[in-house]
Amino acid sequence: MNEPLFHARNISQSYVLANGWRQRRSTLQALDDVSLTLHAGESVGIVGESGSGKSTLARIIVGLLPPTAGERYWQGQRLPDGPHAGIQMVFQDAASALNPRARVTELIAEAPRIHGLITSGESDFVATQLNRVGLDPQLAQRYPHQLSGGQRARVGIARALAVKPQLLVCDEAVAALDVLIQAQILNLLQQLRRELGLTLLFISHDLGVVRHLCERVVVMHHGRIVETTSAGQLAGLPSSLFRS
Amino acid sequence: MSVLDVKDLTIHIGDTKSPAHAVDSVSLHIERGEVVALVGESGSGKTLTGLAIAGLLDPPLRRVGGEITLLGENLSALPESQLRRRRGDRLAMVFQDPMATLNPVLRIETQLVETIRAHRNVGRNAARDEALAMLDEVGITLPAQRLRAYPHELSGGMRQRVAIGAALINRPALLIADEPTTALDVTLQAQILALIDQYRRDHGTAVLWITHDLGVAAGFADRVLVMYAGQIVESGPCARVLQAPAHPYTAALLGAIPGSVPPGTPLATLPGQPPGLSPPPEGCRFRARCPRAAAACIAAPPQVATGEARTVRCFFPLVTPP
Repeated sequence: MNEPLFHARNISQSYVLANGWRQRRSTLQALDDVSLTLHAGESVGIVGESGSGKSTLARIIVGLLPPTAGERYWQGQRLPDGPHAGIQMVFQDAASALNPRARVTELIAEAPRIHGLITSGESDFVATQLNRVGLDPQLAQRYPHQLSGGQRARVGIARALAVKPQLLVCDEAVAALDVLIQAQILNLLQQLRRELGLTLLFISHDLGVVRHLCERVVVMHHGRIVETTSAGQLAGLPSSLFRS
Repeated sequence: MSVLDVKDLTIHIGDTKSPAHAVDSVSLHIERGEVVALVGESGSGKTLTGLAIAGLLDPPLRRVGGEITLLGENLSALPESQLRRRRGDRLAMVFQDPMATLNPVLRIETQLVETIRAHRNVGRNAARDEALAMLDEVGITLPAQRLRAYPHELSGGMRQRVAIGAALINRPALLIADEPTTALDVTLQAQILALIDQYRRDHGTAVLWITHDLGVAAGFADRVLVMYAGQIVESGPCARVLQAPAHPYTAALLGAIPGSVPPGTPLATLPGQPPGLSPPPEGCRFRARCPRAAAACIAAPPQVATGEARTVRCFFPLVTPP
Protein backbone atom coordinates (compact mmCIF):
# COMPACT_ATOMS: atom_id res chain seq x y z
CA MET A 1 0.00 0.00 0.00
CA ASN A 2 1.09 3.60 -0.55
CA GLU A 3 2.75 5.60 2.16
CA PRO A 4 -0.09 6.93 4.36
CA LEU A 5 -0.61 10.68 4.42
CA PHE A 6 -0.71 10.77 8.20
CA HIS A 7 -0.03 8.31 10.93
CA ALA A 8 -0.36 8.69 14.68
CA ARG A 9 1.43 5.97 16.60
CA ASN A 10 0.78 4.89 20.19
CA ILE A 11 -0.58 8.23 21.30
CA SER A 12 -1.30 8.57 25.01
CA GLN A 13 -2.40 11.63 26.88
CA SER A 14 -3.00 12.07 30.56
CA TYR A 15 -4.21 15.08 32.45
CA VAL A 16 -3.35 15.76 36.05
CA LEU A 17 -6.42 16.46 38.11
CA ALA A 18 -6.18 18.30 41.37
CA ASN A 19 -9.22 17.25 43.32
CA GLY A 20 -9.20 20.32 45.47
CA TRP A 21 -7.00 22.47 47.59
CA ARG A 22 -4.17 20.43 49.13
CA GLN A 23 -5.80 17.21 48.08
CA ARG A 24 -4.00 14.30 46.52
CA ARG A 25 -3.59 14.62 42.79
CA SER A 26 -4.89 12.00 40.44
CA THR A 27 -4.37 11.54 36.71
CA LEU A 28 -6.98 11.08 34.02
CA GLN A 29 -5.95 8.90 31.10
CA ALA A 30 -7.65 10.82 28.26
CA LEU A 31 -6.01 8.73 25.52
CA ASP A 32 -4.55 5.30 25.98
CA ASP A 33 -2.22 3.99 23.26
CA VAL A 34 -4.20 5.20 20.25
CA SER A 35 -2.90 4.66 16.70
CA LEU A 36 -4.60 6.03 13.61
CA THR A 37 -3.62 5.97 9.93
CA LEU A 38 -5.11 8.28 7.31
CA HIS A 39 -4.59 7.73 3.59
CA ALA A 40 -4.72 10.57 1.08
CA GLY A 41 -8.26 11.38 -0.04
CA GLU A 42 -9.93 9.35 2.66
CA SER A 43 -12.83 10.60 4.76
CA VAL A 44 -12.70 9.18 8.26
CA GLY A 45 -15.12 9.81 11.11
CA ILE A 46 -14.43 9.59 14.83
CA VAL A 47 -17.47 8.98 17.02
CA GLY A 48 -17.77 8.58 20.75
CA GLU A 49 -19.54 10.11 23.68
CA SER A 50 -18.38 13.14 25.66
CA GLY A 51 -15.17 12.34 27.47
CA SER A 52 -14.21 9.48 25.15
CA GLY A 53 -11.08 11.39 24.07
CA LYS A 54 -12.07 12.29 20.53
CA SER A 55 -11.43 16.02 20.87
CA THR A 56 -8.13 15.40 22.66
CA LEU A 57 -7.06 13.15 19.77
CA ALA A 58 -8.03 15.85 17.27
CA ARG A 59 -5.97 18.48 19.09
CA ILE A 60 -2.97 16.17 19.18
CA ILE A 61 -3.26 15.31 15.47
CA VAL A 62 -3.37 19.00 14.57
CA GLY A 63 -0.45 19.72 16.90
CA LEU A 64 -2.26 22.03 19.31
CA LEU A 65 -1.47 19.70 22.20
CA PRO A 66 1.78 17.77 22.65
CA PRO A 67 0.92 14.17 23.60
CA THR A 68 2.27 12.62 26.80
CA ALA A 69 3.57 9.75 24.67
CA GLY A 70 3.54 8.75 21.01
CA GLU A 71 4.56 10.16 17.63
CA ARG A 72 2.97 11.74 14.58
CA TYR A 73 4.17 10.97 11.05
CA TRP A 74 3.46 13.03 7.93
CA GLN A 75 4.05 11.17 4.67
CA GLY A 76 6.42 8.89 6.52
CA GLN A 77 8.39 11.67 8.21
CA ARG A 78 8.27 12.11 11.98
CA LEU A 79 6.60 15.41 12.86
CA PRO A 80 8.00 17.60 15.65
CA ASP A 81 5.56 18.89 18.28
CA GLY A 82 3.49 21.83 17.15
CA PRO A 83 1.26 22.69 14.21
CA HIS A 84 1.94 21.79 10.58
CA ALA A 85 0.58 23.77 7.63
CA GLY A 86 -0.59 20.58 5.93
CA ILE A 87 -3.00 19.82 8.79
CA GLN A 88 -5.70 22.36 9.59
CA MET A 89 -8.64 22.36 11.91
CA VAL A 90 -12.23 23.59 11.79
CA PHE A 91 -13.59 24.18 15.27
CA GLN A 92 -17.06 23.59 16.68
CA ASP A 93 -17.84 27.13 17.68
CA ALA A 94 -16.81 29.45 14.88
CA ALA A 95 -17.81 32.44 16.99
CA SER A 96 -15.14 31.73 19.58
CA ALA A 97 -12.57 30.35 17.11
CA LEU A 98 -12.42 33.59 15.12
CA ASN A 99 -10.70 36.63 16.60
CA PRO A 100 -13.59 39.06 17.22
CA ARG A 101 -11.36 42.08 16.61
CA ALA A 102 -10.09 41.00 13.19
CA ARG A 103 -11.90 41.52 9.90
CA VAL A 104 -12.62 38.48 7.73
CA THR A 105 -9.84 39.43 5.32
CA GLU A 106 -7.28 39.42 8.12
CA LEU A 107 -8.59 36.15 9.55
CA ILE A 108 -8.14 34.46 6.20
CA ALA A 109 -4.95 36.12 4.93
CA GLU A 110 -2.77 36.16 8.05
CA ALA A 111 -1.53 32.58 8.00
CA PRO A 112 -0.95 32.26 4.22
CA ARG A 113 0.92 35.59 4.26
CA ILE A 114 3.32 34.22 6.87
CA HIS A 115 3.71 31.00 4.91
CA GLY A 116 4.45 33.02 1.76
CA LEU A 117 1.46 31.62 -0.11
CA ILE A 118 0.11 34.98 -1.30
CA THR A 119 1.92 35.77 -4.53
CA SER A 120 -0.30 38.42 -6.11
CA GLY A 121 -2.75 40.86 -4.45
CA GLU A 122 -4.05 40.00 -1.03
CA SER A 123 -7.62 41.11 -1.72
CA ASP A 124 -7.75 38.83 -4.79
CA PHE A 125 -6.45 35.98 -2.68
CA VAL A 126 -9.10 36.54 -0.01
CA ALA A 127 -11.84 36.87 -2.66
CA THR A 128 -10.84 33.51 -4.14
CA GLN A 129 -10.93 31.86 -0.72
CA LEU A 130 -14.35 33.35 0.08
CA ASN A 131 -15.78 32.35 -3.30
CA ARG A 132 -14.60 28.80 -2.75
CA VAL A 133 -16.71 28.43 0.40
CA GLY A 134 -19.70 30.12 -1.21
CA LEU A 135 -19.37 33.53 0.44
CA ASP A 136 -19.69 36.93 -1.19
CA PRO A 137 -16.18 38.56 -1.34
CA GLN A 138 -17.88 41.76 -0.10
CA LEU A 139 -17.94 40.14 3.34
CA ALA A 140 -14.13 40.48 3.59
CA GLN A 141 -14.38 43.78 5.47
CA ARG A 142 -16.86 42.49 8.06
CA TYR A 143 -16.09 41.47 11.62
CA PRO A 144 -17.19 38.01 12.86
CA HIS A 145 -20.09 39.44 14.89
CA GLN A 146 -21.52 40.94 11.70
CA LEU A 147 -21.93 37.48 10.16
CA SER A 148 -24.66 34.86 10.60
CA GLY A 149 -23.85 31.50 12.16
CA GLY A 150 -23.67 29.79 8.77
CA GLN A 151 -21.42 32.51 7.36
CA ARG A 152 -19.10 32.23 10.35
CA ALA A 153 -18.87 28.47 9.86
CA ARG A 154 -17.88 29.09 6.23
CA VAL A 155 -15.24 31.64 7.27
CA GLY A 156 -13.86 29.04 9.69
CA ILE A 157 -13.53 26.59 6.80
CA ALA A 158 -12.04 29.23 4.46
CA ARG A 159 -9.49 30.14 7.14
CA ALA A 160 -8.43 26.51 7.51
CA LEU A 161 -8.18 25.96 3.74
CA ALA A 162 -6.26 29.18 3.02
CA VAL A 163 -2.88 27.56 3.73
CA LYS A 164 -3.64 24.70 1.31
CA PRO A 165 -3.77 21.85 3.81
CA GLN A 166 -4.05 18.24 2.69
CA LEU A 167 -5.70 17.08 5.89
CA LEU A 168 -8.69 18.90 7.33
CA VAL A 169 -9.73 17.99 10.88
CA CYS A 170 -13.30 19.03 11.75
CA ASP A 171 -14.14 18.87 15.45
CA GLU A 172 -17.94 18.97 15.77
CA ALA A 173 -17.88 21.54 12.98
CA VAL A 174 -21.63 21.38 12.33
CA ALA A 175 -22.92 20.50 15.80
CA ALA A 176 -24.07 24.01 16.66
CA LEU A 177 -25.84 24.70 13.36
CA ASP A 178 -29.51 24.49 12.41
CA VAL A 179 -30.36 21.53 10.21
CA LEU A 180 -30.70 23.56 6.98
CA ILE A 181 -27.36 25.34 7.52
CA GLN A 182 -25.79 22.06 8.59
CA ALA A 183 -26.89 20.52 5.30
CA GLN A 184 -25.29 23.41 3.38
CA ILE A 185 -22.00 23.03 5.25
CA LEU A 186 -21.95 19.24 4.79
CA ASN A 187 -22.55 19.71 1.06
CA LEU A 188 -19.74 22.28 0.98
CA LEU A 189 -17.30 19.93 2.71
CA GLN A 190 -18.16 17.15 0.23
CA GLN A 191 -17.65 19.49 -2.69
CA LEU A 192 -14.34 20.87 -1.38
CA ARG A 193 -13.13 17.37 -0.70
CA ARG A 194 -13.74 16.41 -4.33
CA GLU A 195 -12.31 19.63 -5.79
CA LEU A 196 -9.19 19.84 -3.63
CA GLY A 197 -8.57 16.14 -3.00
CA LEU A 198 -8.73 16.79 0.73
CA THR A 199 -8.38 14.13 3.36
CA LEU A 200 -11.05 14.62 5.98
CA LEU A 201 -11.07 13.64 9.64
CA PHE A 202 -14.54 14.37 10.96
CA ILE A 203 -15.23 14.22 14.68
CA SER A 204 -18.85 14.13 15.72
CA HIS A 205 -21.27 12.64 18.18
CA ASP A 206 -23.92 12.60 15.45
CA LEU A 207 -23.90 9.18 13.83
CA GLY A 208 -26.18 10.36 11.02
CA VAL A 209 -23.73 13.08 9.96
CA VAL A 210 -20.75 10.72 10.13
CA ARG A 211 -22.54 8.04 8.15
CA HIS A 212 -23.36 10.62 5.51
CA LEU A 213 -19.87 12.06 5.15
CA CYS A 214 -17.37 9.32 5.97
CA GLU A 215 -16.27 6.04 4.42
CA ARG A 216 -14.53 4.74 7.50
CA VAL A 217 -15.52 5.26 11.12
CA VAL A 218 -13.43 4.96 14.25
CA VAL A 219 -15.31 4.43 17.51
CA MET A 220 -13.71 5.73 20.69
CA HIS A 221 -14.59 4.81 24.24
CA HIS A 222 -12.78 5.76 27.44
CA GLY A 223 -9.69 6.98 25.56
CA ARG A 224 -9.30 3.92 23.35
CA ILE A 225 -10.22 3.08 19.80
CA VAL A 226 -12.59 0.18 20.33
CA GLU A 227 -13.70 -0.39 16.76
CA THR A 228 -12.93 0.63 13.19
CA THR A 229 -15.66 -0.04 10.69
CA SER A 230 -17.03 1.08 7.35
CA ALA A 231 -19.68 3.77 7.64
CA GLY A 232 -22.32 1.44 6.19
CA GLN A 233 -21.86 -0.93 9.11
CA LEU A 234 -22.28 1.83 11.66
CA ALA A 235 -25.96 1.13 12.18
CA GLY A 236 -25.12 -2.27 13.62
CA LEU A 237 -22.75 -0.97 16.28
CA PRO A 238 -23.13 -2.46 19.71
CA SER A 239 -25.21 0.10 21.51
CA SER A 240 -23.50 -0.64 24.81
CA LEU A 241 -20.68 1.58 23.58
CA PHE A 242 -23.00 4.52 23.80
CA ARG A 243 -24.08 3.87 27.31
CA SER A 244 -22.00 5.02 30.20
CA MET B 1 -59.60 22.06 30.05
CA SER B 2 -56.17 22.48 28.55
CA VAL B 3 -53.26 23.00 30.90
CA LEU B 4 -51.98 25.77 28.66
CA ASP B 5 -53.91 27.85 26.16
CA VAL B 6 -52.15 30.55 24.15
CA LYS B 7 -54.22 32.77 21.86
CA ASP B 8 -52.74 35.09 19.22
CA LEU B 9 -49.47 35.72 21.03
CA THR B 10 -47.62 38.56 19.31
CA ILE B 11 -44.16 39.79 20.31
CA HIS B 12 -42.32 42.82 19.00
CA ILE B 13 -38.63 43.66 19.44
CA GLY B 14 -37.23 47.16 19.55
CA ASP B 15 -38.76 50.62 19.24
CA THR B 16 -42.46 51.15 18.54
CA LYS B 17 -41.86 52.86 15.16
CA SER B 18 -40.21 49.96 13.30
CA PRO B 19 -40.27 46.93 15.57
CA ALA B 20 -39.29 43.44 14.45
CA HIS B 21 -42.41 41.28 14.42
CA ALA B 22 -40.62 38.36 16.07
CA VAL B 23 -43.72 36.33 16.97
CA ASP B 24 -46.96 36.86 15.04
CA SER B 25 -50.33 35.56 16.27
CA VAL B 26 -49.12 32.26 17.67
CA SER B 27 -51.86 30.10 19.17
CA LEU B 28 -51.30 26.76 20.84
CA HIS B 29 -52.69 24.54 23.56
CA ILE B 30 -51.25 21.68 25.57
CA GLU B 31 -53.27 19.04 27.38
CA ARG B 32 -52.43 17.28 30.62
CA GLY B 33 -49.58 14.79 30.13
CA GLU B 34 -49.03 15.87 26.53
CA VAL B 35 -45.64 16.68 24.96
CA VAL B 36 -45.77 19.35 22.26
CA ALA B 37 -42.62 20.08 20.28
CA LEU B 38 -42.11 23.61 18.98
CA VAL B 39 -39.64 23.28 16.10
CA GLY B 40 -37.87 25.96 14.12
CA GLU B 41 -34.56 27.51 13.11
CA SER B 42 -32.62 30.14 15.07
CA GLY B 43 -34.62 33.34 14.93
CA SER B 44 -37.95 31.67 14.16
CA GLY B 45 -39.43 32.93 17.45
CA LYS B 46 -39.69 29.58 19.24
CA THR B 47 -37.61 30.62 22.26
CA LEU B 48 -39.46 33.95 22.56
CA THR B 49 -42.75 32.07 22.57
CA GLY B 50 -41.50 29.96 25.49
CA LEU B 51 -40.20 33.00 27.37
CA ALA B 52 -43.46 34.87 26.85
CA ILE B 53 -45.49 31.97 28.29
CA ALA B 54 -43.26 32.03 31.37
CA GLY B 55 -43.66 35.81 31.56
CA LEU B 56 -39.92 36.33 31.12
CA LEU B 57 -39.88 38.92 28.34
CA ASP B 58 -37.79 41.98 29.17
CA PRO B 59 -37.38 45.12 27.08
CA PRO B 60 -36.66 45.42 24.18
CA LEU B 61 -38.94 42.38 23.91
CA ARG B 62 -42.62 43.30 24.24
CA ARG B 63 -45.75 41.20 24.22
CA VAL B 64 -48.08 43.44 22.25
CA GLY B 65 -51.00 41.05 21.97
CA GLY B 66 -52.41 37.72 22.93
CA GLU B 67 -53.66 35.87 25.94
CA ILE B 68 -51.88 33.15 27.92
CA THR B 69 -54.09 30.93 30.06
CA LEU B 70 -52.60 28.41 32.48
CA LEU B 71 -55.04 26.09 34.28
CA GLY B 72 -57.86 28.52 33.54
CA GLU B 73 -56.01 31.53 34.91
CA ASN B 74 -55.14 34.39 32.58
CA LEU B 75 -51.39 34.87 33.13
CA SER B 76 -51.13 37.81 30.77
CA ALA B 77 -53.30 39.90 33.10
CA LEU B 78 -51.29 39.15 36.24
CA PRO B 79 -48.85 41.64 37.75
CA GLU B 80 -45.21 40.55 38.00
CA SER B 81 -45.49 39.86 41.76
CA GLN B 82 -48.26 37.32 41.13
CA LEU B 83 -46.47 35.86 38.10
CA ARG B 84 -43.48 35.27 40.30
CA ARG B 85 -45.61 33.02 42.53
CA ARG B 86 -46.57 30.91 39.49
CA ARG B 87 -43.06 30.50 38.06
CA GLY B 88 -41.23 27.60 39.63
CA ASP B 89 -44.55 26.37 40.99
CA ARG B 90 -47.28 25.84 38.42
CA LEU B 91 -44.99 26.36 35.48
CA ALA B 92 -41.25 25.83 35.25
CA MET B 93 -38.62 26.27 32.59
CA VAL B 94 -35.40 24.44 31.69
CA PHE B 95 -32.83 26.11 29.47
CA GLN B 96 -30.08 24.89 27.15
CA ASP B 97 -27.23 25.86 29.46
CA PRO B 98 -27.72 24.56 33.02
CA MET B 99 -24.99 26.90 34.28
CA ALA B 100 -27.27 29.79 33.36
CA THR B 101 -29.93 28.31 35.65
CA LEU B 102 -27.78 27.22 38.57
CA ASN B 103 -26.08 29.69 40.88
CA PRO B 104 -22.34 28.87 40.71
CA VAL B 105 -21.59 29.91 44.30
CA LEU B 106 -24.36 27.98 46.06
CA ARG B 107 -24.48 24.30 46.89
CA ILE B 108 -27.10 22.22 45.04
CA GLU B 109 -28.86 21.70 48.37
CA THR B 110 -29.20 25.43 49.03
CA GLN B 111 -30.67 26.01 45.58
CA LEU B 112 -33.19 23.18 45.71
CA VAL B 113 -34.30 23.89 49.27
CA GLU B 114 -34.73 27.56 48.41
CA THR B 115 -36.88 26.66 45.41
CA ILE B 116 -39.17 24.52 47.58
CA ARG B 117 -39.47 27.00 50.44
CA ALA B 118 -40.11 29.95 48.15
CA HIS B 119 -43.41 28.36 47.13
CA ARG B 120 -44.48 26.04 49.93
CA ASN B 121 -44.53 26.20 53.68
CA VAL B 122 -42.14 23.30 54.28
CA GLY B 123 -39.56 22.95 57.02
CA ARG B 124 -35.87 23.01 56.18
CA ASN B 125 -35.30 19.33 56.93
CA ALA B 126 -38.40 18.19 55.06
CA ALA B 127 -37.31 20.31 52.09
CA ARG B 128 -33.87 18.76 52.20
CA ASP B 129 -35.43 15.27 52.13
CA GLU B 130 -37.52 16.30 49.14
CA ALA B 131 -34.46 17.64 47.35
CA LEU B 132 -32.66 14.36 48.00
CA ALA B 133 -35.59 12.37 46.63
CA MET B 134 -35.74 14.59 43.55
CA LEU B 135 -32.03 14.11 42.76
CA ASP B 136 -32.63 10.38 43.00
CA GLU B 137 -35.68 10.68 40.74
CA VAL B 138 -33.75 12.50 38.01
CA GLY B 139 -31.17 9.73 38.03
CA ILE B 140 -28.27 11.25 39.95
CA THR B 141 -26.02 8.66 41.58
CA LEU B 142 -24.89 9.27 45.17
CA PRO B 143 -27.56 11.98 45.65
CA ALA B 144 -26.56 12.70 49.25
CA GLN B 145 -23.04 13.64 48.13
CA ARG B 146 -24.23 15.63 45.11
CA LEU B 147 -26.53 17.63 47.34
CA ARG B 148 -23.44 19.06 49.05
CA ALA B 149 -21.67 19.76 45.74
CA TYR B 150 -21.33 23.04 43.86
CA PRO B 151 -22.48 23.15 40.21
CA HIS B 152 -18.89 23.27 38.87
CA GLU B 153 -18.15 19.93 40.54
CA LEU B 154 -20.74 18.18 38.38
CA SER B 155 -20.50 17.02 34.76
CA GLY B 156 -22.60 18.70 32.06
CA GLY B 157 -25.17 15.91 32.01
CA MET B 158 -25.47 15.92 35.77
CA ARG B 159 -25.91 19.70 35.87
CA GLN B 160 -28.75 19.44 33.38
CA ARG B 161 -30.37 16.75 35.54
CA VAL B 162 -30.10 19.06 38.55
CA ALA B 163 -31.63 21.93 36.56
CA ILE B 164 -34.49 19.65 35.52
CA GLY B 165 -34.86 18.49 39.13
CA ALA B 166 -35.08 22.11 40.27
CA ALA B 167 -37.74 22.79 37.64
CA LEU B 168 -39.83 19.76 38.62
CA ILE B 169 -39.45 19.98 42.38
CA ASN B 170 -42.72 21.83 42.98
CA ARG B 171 -44.60 19.48 40.62
CA PRO B 172 -45.44 22.07 37.93
CA ALA B 173 -48.44 21.51 35.67
CA LEU B 174 -46.42 22.83 32.72
CA LEU B 175 -42.73 22.34 31.92
CA ILE B 176 -41.22 24.55 29.23
CA ALA B 177 -37.96 23.04 27.99
CA ASP B 178 -35.85 25.19 25.67
CA GLU B 179 -33.27 22.99 23.89
CA PRO B 180 -32.23 21.28 27.14
CA THR B 181 -30.47 18.43 25.32
CA THR B 182 -28.78 20.34 22.50
CA ALA B 183 -25.45 20.68 24.30
CA LEU B 184 -25.43 17.04 25.40
CA ASP B 185 -24.20 14.02 23.46
CA VAL B 186 -26.61 11.40 22.13
CA THR B 187 -26.37 9.08 25.13
CA LEU B 188 -27.19 11.79 27.63
CA GLN B 189 -29.82 13.21 25.32
CA ALA B 190 -31.62 9.87 25.24
CA GLN B 191 -31.41 9.60 29.02
CA ILE B 192 -32.85 13.08 29.57
CA LEU B 193 -35.68 12.45 27.10
CA ALA B 194 -36.52 9.16 28.82
CA LEU B 195 -36.46 10.93 32.18
CA ILE B 196 -38.92 13.66 31.13
CA ASP B 197 -41.10 11.11 29.34
CA GLN B 198 -41.39 8.97 32.46
CA TYR B 199 -42.07 12.00 34.62
CA ARG B 200 -44.95 13.26 32.52
CA ARG B 201 -46.48 9.78 32.50
CA ASP B 202 -46.23 9.57 36.29
CA HIS B 203 -47.43 13.10 37.08
CA GLY B 204 -49.42 14.24 34.05
CA THR B 205 -47.11 17.18 33.43
CA ALA B 206 -47.74 19.05 30.19
CA VAL B 207 -44.48 19.68 28.30
CA LEU B 208 -43.61 22.33 25.71
CA TRP B 209 -40.38 21.10 24.12
CA ILE B 210 -38.59 23.80 22.12
CA THR B 211 -35.99 22.45 19.71
CA HIS B 212 -34.43 22.86 16.29
CA ASP B 213 -33.97 19.10 16.03
CA LEU B 214 -36.82 17.28 14.29
CA GLY B 215 -35.15 14.00 15.24
CA VAL B 216 -35.67 14.75 18.93
CA ALA B 217 -39.27 15.77 18.29
CA ALA B 218 -39.91 12.60 16.29
CA GLY B 219 -39.23 10.09 19.03
CA PHE B 220 -40.70 12.03 21.90
CA ALA B 221 -43.50 14.49 21.17
CA ASP B 222 -47.19 13.78 20.72
CA ARG B 223 -47.75 16.83 18.55
CA VAL B 224 -45.36 19.08 16.66
CA LEU B 225 -45.67 22.78 15.80
CA VAL B 226 -43.32 24.09 13.10
CA MET B 227 -42.40 27.78 13.29
CA TYR B 228 -40.97 29.89 10.51
CA ALA B 229 -40.25 33.63 10.70
CA GLY B 230 -42.49 34.16 13.74
CA GLN B 231 -45.50 32.13 12.59
CA ILE B 232 -46.66 28.58 13.10
CA VAL B 233 -46.67 27.20 9.55
CA GLU B 234 -47.70 23.64 10.32
CA SER B 235 -49.06 21.66 13.25
CA GLY B 236 -50.32 18.17 13.85
CA PRO B 237 -49.67 14.76 15.36
CA CYS B 238 -45.92 14.19 15.32
CA ALA B 239 -45.84 10.91 13.42
CA ARG B 240 -48.19 12.14 10.68
CA VAL B 241 -46.42 15.47 10.15
CA LEU B 242 -42.96 13.91 9.92
CA GLN B 243 -44.16 11.10 7.68
CA ALA B 244 -46.07 13.32 5.28
CA PRO B 245 -45.28 17.02 5.83
CA ALA B 246 -47.87 19.42 4.45
CA HIS B 247 -45.82 22.65 4.42
CA PRO B 248 -42.89 22.94 1.98
CA TYR B 249 -40.75 24.30 4.83
CA THR B 250 -41.33 21.21 6.99
CA ALA B 251 -40.46 19.08 3.98
CA ALA B 252 -37.23 21.07 3.51
CA LEU B 253 -36.27 20.58 7.17
CA LEU B 254 -36.80 16.83 6.86
CA GLY B 255 -34.87 16.66 3.57
CA ALA B 256 -31.84 18.36 5.13
CA ILE B 257 -31.34 15.64 7.76
CA PRO B 258 -28.40 13.36 6.93
CA GLY B 259 -29.80 9.92 6.26
CA SER B 260 -32.64 11.24 4.11
CA VAL B 261 -30.44 10.67 1.03
CA PRO B 262 -27.80 8.00 0.23
CA PRO B 263 -24.45 8.74 1.92
CA GLY B 264 -22.20 11.04 -0.04
CA THR B 265 -24.93 12.56 -2.23
CA PRO B 266 -25.79 16.21 -1.66
CA LEU B 267 -28.42 16.99 0.96
CA ALA B 268 -31.42 19.05 -0.07
CA THR B 269 -31.04 22.64 1.11
CA LEU B 270 -33.00 25.83 0.64
CA PRO B 271 -31.71 28.93 -1.13
CA GLY B 272 -31.41 32.16 0.84
CA GLN B 273 -32.11 32.90 4.47
CA PRO B 274 -35.18 33.56 6.61
CA PRO B 275 -36.60 37.05 5.91
CA GLY B 276 -36.01 40.10 8.06
CA LEU B 277 -38.98 40.83 10.32
CA SER B 278 -38.92 44.60 10.71
CA PRO B 279 -41.25 44.75 8.93
CA PRO B 280 -42.03 41.17 7.87
CA PRO B 281 -42.50 40.56 4.14
CA GLU B 282 -45.98 40.82 2.67
CA GLY B 283 -47.82 37.60 1.97
CA CYS B 284 -46.36 34.20 2.67
CA ARG B 285 -43.13 34.61 4.63
CA PHE B 286 -41.60 31.48 3.13
CA ARG B 287 -42.35 32.49 -0.45
CA ALA B 288 -38.83 33.69 -1.42
CA ARG B 289 -37.31 30.30 -0.61
CA CYS B 290 -40.22 28.08 -1.51
CA PRO B 291 -40.00 25.64 -4.44
CA ARG B 292 -43.82 25.70 -4.77
CA ALA B 293 -44.31 29.47 -4.64
CA ALA B 294 -46.72 30.97 -7.16
CA ALA B 295 -48.45 34.30 -7.81
CA ALA B 296 -51.11 33.58 -5.18
CA CYS B 297 -48.46 33.57 -2.44
CA ILE B 298 -48.30 37.38 -2.51
CA ALA B 299 -51.34 37.20 -0.24
CA ALA B 300 -50.81 35.89 3.28
CA PRO B 301 -52.03 32.30 3.53
CA PRO B 302 -54.31 31.59 6.50
CA GLN B 303 -53.74 28.70 8.83
CA VAL B 304 -56.20 26.06 7.61
CA ALA B 305 -57.13 22.64 8.93
CA THR B 306 -56.26 19.73 6.69
CA GLY B 307 -57.94 16.99 8.66
CA GLU B 308 -56.40 14.52 11.12
CA ALA B 309 -56.05 17.37 13.63
CA ARG B 310 -53.50 19.06 11.36
CA THR B 311 -53.19 22.66 10.21
CA VAL B 312 -51.02 24.25 7.55
CA ARG B 313 -50.32 27.85 6.50
CA CYS B 314 -49.89 27.38 2.76
CA PHE B 315 -51.93 27.81 -0.43
CA PHE B 316 -50.23 24.81 -2.04
CA PRO B 317 -49.71 22.23 0.71
CA LEU B 318 -48.05 18.92 -0.06
CA VAL B 319 -50.90 17.09 1.66
CA THR B 320 -54.36 17.94 0.38
CA PRO B 321 -57.38 17.90 2.68
CA PRO B 322 -59.37 14.66 2.51
